[in-house]
Amino acid sequence: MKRKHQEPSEAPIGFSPSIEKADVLARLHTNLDPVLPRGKADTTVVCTANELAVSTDGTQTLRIALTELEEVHVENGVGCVFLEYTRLGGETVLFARADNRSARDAVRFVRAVNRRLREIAEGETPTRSPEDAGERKRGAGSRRVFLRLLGMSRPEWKYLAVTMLFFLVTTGISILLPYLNRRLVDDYIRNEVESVFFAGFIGMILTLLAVNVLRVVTRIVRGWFLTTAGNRMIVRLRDTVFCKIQSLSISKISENNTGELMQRVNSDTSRVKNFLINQLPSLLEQTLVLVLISVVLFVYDWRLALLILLPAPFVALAFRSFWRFMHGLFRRRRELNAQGSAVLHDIFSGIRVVKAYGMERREEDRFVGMAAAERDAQLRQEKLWAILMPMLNFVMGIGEYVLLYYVGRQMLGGMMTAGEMSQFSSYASMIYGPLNMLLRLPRQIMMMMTSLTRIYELLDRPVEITDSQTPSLPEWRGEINVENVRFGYEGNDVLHDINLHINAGEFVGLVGKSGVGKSTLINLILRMYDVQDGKISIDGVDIRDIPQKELRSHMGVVLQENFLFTGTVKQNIAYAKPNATLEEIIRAAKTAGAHDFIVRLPDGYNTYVGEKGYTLSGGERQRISIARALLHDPKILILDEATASLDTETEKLIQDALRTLCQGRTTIAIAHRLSTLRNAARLVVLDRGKVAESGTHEELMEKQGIYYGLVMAQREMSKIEQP
Amino acid sequence: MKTPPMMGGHSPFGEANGFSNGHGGEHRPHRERSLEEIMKTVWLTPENAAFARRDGLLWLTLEGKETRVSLRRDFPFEQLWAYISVLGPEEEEIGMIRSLDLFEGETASLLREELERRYYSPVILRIHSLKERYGFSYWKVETAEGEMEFTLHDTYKSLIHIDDKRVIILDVDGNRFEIPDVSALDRRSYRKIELYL
Repeated sequence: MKRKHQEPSEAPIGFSPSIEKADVLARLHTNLDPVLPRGKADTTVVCTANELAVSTDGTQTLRIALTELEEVHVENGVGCVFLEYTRLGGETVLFARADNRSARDAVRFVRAVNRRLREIAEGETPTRSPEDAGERKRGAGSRRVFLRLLGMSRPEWKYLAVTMLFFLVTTGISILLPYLNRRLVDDYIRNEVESVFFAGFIGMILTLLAVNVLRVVTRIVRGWFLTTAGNRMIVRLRDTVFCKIQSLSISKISENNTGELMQRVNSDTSRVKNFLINQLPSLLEQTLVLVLISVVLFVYDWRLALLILLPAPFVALAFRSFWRFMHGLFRRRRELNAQGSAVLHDIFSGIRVVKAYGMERREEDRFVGMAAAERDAQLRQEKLWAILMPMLNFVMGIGEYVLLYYVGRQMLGGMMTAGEMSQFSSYASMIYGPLNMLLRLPRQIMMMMTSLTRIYELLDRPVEITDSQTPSLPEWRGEINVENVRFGYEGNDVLHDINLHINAGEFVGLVGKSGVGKSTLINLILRMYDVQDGKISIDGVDIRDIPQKELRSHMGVVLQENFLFTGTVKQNIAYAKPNATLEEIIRAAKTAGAHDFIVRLPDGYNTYVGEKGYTLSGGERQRISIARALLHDPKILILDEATASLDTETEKLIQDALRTLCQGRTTIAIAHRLSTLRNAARLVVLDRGKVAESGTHEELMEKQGIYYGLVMAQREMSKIEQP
Repeated sequence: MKTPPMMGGHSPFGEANGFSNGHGGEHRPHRERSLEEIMKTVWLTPENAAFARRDGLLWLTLEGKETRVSLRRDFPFEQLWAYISVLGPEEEEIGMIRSLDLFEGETASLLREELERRYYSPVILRIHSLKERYGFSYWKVETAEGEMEFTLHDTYKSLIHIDDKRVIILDVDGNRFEIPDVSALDRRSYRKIELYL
């Protein structure tokens, strides 16, 4: 999308002069006509302290006072979004449409306008969030990416400088060797004076030996320096990428799945490393060889140089076409292979369904079909390779026949010696070898650039949650206050205007239908996300002013599916307090009701659990999680469907353990099974993003509102389940 | 520390290891106790507990009541003689021993013997040969109990690193072998195992 250049403190282009650029609080560029389905329109929407204005293709098309508006919102289309405003009277008007590239910017814009509308309603002066005015930067030019890579290699400049020096030395030796061979042939082997022969010949052989030894040594040293620099750079890059991912909010991390994130940390960085250690040196060396040999040849005999170099472009073109064609075939084979793996994964993951429906034969056909397609693609690729490669090599060799003819004539005419012929034949072969390699480099560079761009895209993501550095609460009591909190994902508000006060040590149950925002509210209290409006404070301090480490150190969480890390039971319990004593660990496990089953495990607390370790039941995992939370000793405890996946018998034990865990702590619990909230002092019912009801079980039942409806529905369900 | 291997879809730490007490297996049944019972810890000391062996079985007399008991190390990889759970006939914990050092003389050696009997893992002194073939490795070793042979499936995963030096080896049958300090092995033995460390 083209951005128009604007001078500061003038009206934005396309707007009336009374709208000054400095007044603009938020701005949005879109490219679709709001009405015509396929119509393009270069549209700019701006929001100032008092107005909303739209300019389309350089002409102002709308200007409306914010005092006339109730709210602005984004409606999702498919592949596009619509921006609409609602007037105070309730009339809704469409004022812009944007494709999905600008959808996020549209959400930010709408958020900024709505914030301003609330400020106007409350008589406040405008505030500007740094993200409102600008748009996200997209992509990056390959030059910029490459420059950043160079910037990243700055700490290794000493290693790289030495490497470059050795590159020059090895290249110089490569060019010197054919020259020495020539001297050997012309001055000694063909010299008929015996005394000269004996003295010089041995000397020449020794010189050749010494130069070759020097070449081997310089290559070893060069390789060592390059590998060291490359590995250091890549470890640093991996660290940076990993730390960056950890610093992102859950919503930003969720934009990519685990596989993608792992690929960025591992594969993408490895590809960059391979390029730096293997391909970049080849690129440098081969380019140097090509340039230096060309210069030497032209200096010696320009006709000879032309003879050697003239076929080069044609050979290059032939190889280029060959590689392009072969890459297409390689890619097809890879795609088919990946599809085959996906089919296999699908079948094995759903093997119970396959067997249950007796569909083994169908799945077998599906797999055999994929395997056959891959086999055909492989056959075609290998046949072509077997035919074309020798032909290409032959074509590449034709130049040498021409060269042979030329130097043969020169020799016969007495204008060239046998040594010179050997020297130039070597140079000719040294030019055609690298040419083939150089032609494959653009593709490798492209792959590396793709990886590097993906890495930078991640590194450039804004860290939404900024951390406070000053410890704020000398003593934690655990009183939580949620004031006018508003939060949504991708422009759709999940919570709006939430107000909730939880006293220190109080047990509050959060109730509501699925998707009503219970877990979102808990994530906001944990500060996995930041509120978009309003504030959450603990003991009177805004959680954004509390360092995250301090905040989390006073919060414990028990989830429905508790993750156990690969490691021992002991390590999992002591996860949040690695320096806990053995007795503390035992005490926590006992309080969580976990000690009994742990000592029955063959290795007790040293038993390995986690993905590939000892298989624990849901209840056992849950008890370990509770022990983990207990050892952490948090002031605020969050239970998110902590007993939902357990059978009734196990639930009883876990409930008892949880009751011990909750003592003296502020507890917020979410549960679909309402009976599990019987320990709660107060129940808060969320509905349509707001707190709809609040009170004890008895009070809410008496009220016969939403909670009453939920309880009645569950009673009906249990009647059906247990007739 | 490394992940233990999977064998037959279940952890090698399971019933197949020769000394498991049957966590869900076909051994003695165990009773789920209430949280109150679990939370209570009775620390056993020479003052309140008396141990004795009869017919090869261990008996505990506590508060005048004699019960057949078995011992469990709570932290078998790091505390060999401390934090010992004493379990009753239904696998319920009757009490805990903070440290065997609290006990003296015959009782101490009785308890030590009992633990050594339950936790059987020969110490490898020398590796005579180690051959790898088709994902299995075949070991011939010298232990304190004499020469032994065993087979590992997926060697790398069958070696559990307890710390920088100590390694526990789990063979295909669930037997355990221990190398208390790999760096203290002779050069030849170390070279054989080095690749898998």
